[in-house]
Amino acid sequence: MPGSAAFEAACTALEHSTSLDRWAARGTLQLSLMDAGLETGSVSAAQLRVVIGAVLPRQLKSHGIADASAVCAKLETALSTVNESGAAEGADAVFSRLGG
Amino acid sequence: MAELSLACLALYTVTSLVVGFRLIARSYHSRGVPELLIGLTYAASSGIGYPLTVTATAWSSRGATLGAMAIGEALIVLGCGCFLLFNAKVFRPTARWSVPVALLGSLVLAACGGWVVAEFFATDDVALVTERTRLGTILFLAVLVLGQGWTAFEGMRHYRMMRRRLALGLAEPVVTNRFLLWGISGLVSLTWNGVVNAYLLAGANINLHPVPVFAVSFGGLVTAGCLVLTFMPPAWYVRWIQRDRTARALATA
Repeated sequence: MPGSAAFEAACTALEHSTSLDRWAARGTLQLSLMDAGLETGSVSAAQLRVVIGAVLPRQLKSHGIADASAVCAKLETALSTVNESGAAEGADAVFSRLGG
Repeated sequence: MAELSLACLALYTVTSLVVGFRLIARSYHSRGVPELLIGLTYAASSGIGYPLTVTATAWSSRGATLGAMAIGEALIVLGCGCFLLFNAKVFRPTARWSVPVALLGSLVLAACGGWVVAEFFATDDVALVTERTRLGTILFLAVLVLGQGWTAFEGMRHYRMMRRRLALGLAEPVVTNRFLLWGISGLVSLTWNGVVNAYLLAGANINLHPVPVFAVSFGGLVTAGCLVLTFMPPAWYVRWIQRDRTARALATA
């Protein structure tokens, strides 16, 4: 299943800024998202920024990537240009409205 | 036992009506499809359709009985179909299989509902209709049980994910709790309809046997509670959930 626009942009940026190949980059980001309780298909740029700040550095270190903070900065830059129009609404947004 | 069962079901019906119409009104203002789908589920199915079919045979005129049965079954099918579509649209919005599966389930529900109505039009002997449509009722409940299993699975899966998001500040405690309540209501409904279906398969009269009567009554009561706490949470409950979360965060710190 394809990931959200934000997820795809972050994967491409991670692949280009490290020695990881495409599948390793996707896998690393997927593991970080799982740790954060998020899914590749619906994750937004705002949610990914939090994951990049709190979870991804640990994953990068476990892959032997030394300059994790520089890589994370590149990912954040890539996310700033993502167009999220037309993205499907997440279940959390729906449930937030339903009980208000 | 019969009075208690009736009281529990009446409570569930009234709760469904209030919650359902409230959600439909909300969908009118927000233009949100999920609100409309779940509002129709509760208002049409358990709020109006189910009581209509249960009381249909109490009418003195055959025309009124047939009318109540036809309208009631149609509303139950509409509500249950909306319930399946809600699961598909909200929990699996990007999956290609979800909407076709929900539509297929709705088609089976419509066929079973139509079967029951056709038999009611063919004869006024209720016992004969019940016997002739036993297979249709079992099939209807089987689809409903699968739908409720889907609800329970998605509710619990999202609750697990939301707890992780909560730790990173990506979720609200009250919304996280709503997924738990949604999962519990799915589990309870799954159990109650599963018990009824098992007794139907065994050839028992589900209106007289104490086990299915208790399952339906208790299930209705718990589901009504979950509905209120999910869709119309009282201020004290919201405060309790938020305070509990804050206390846990402070304890961790």
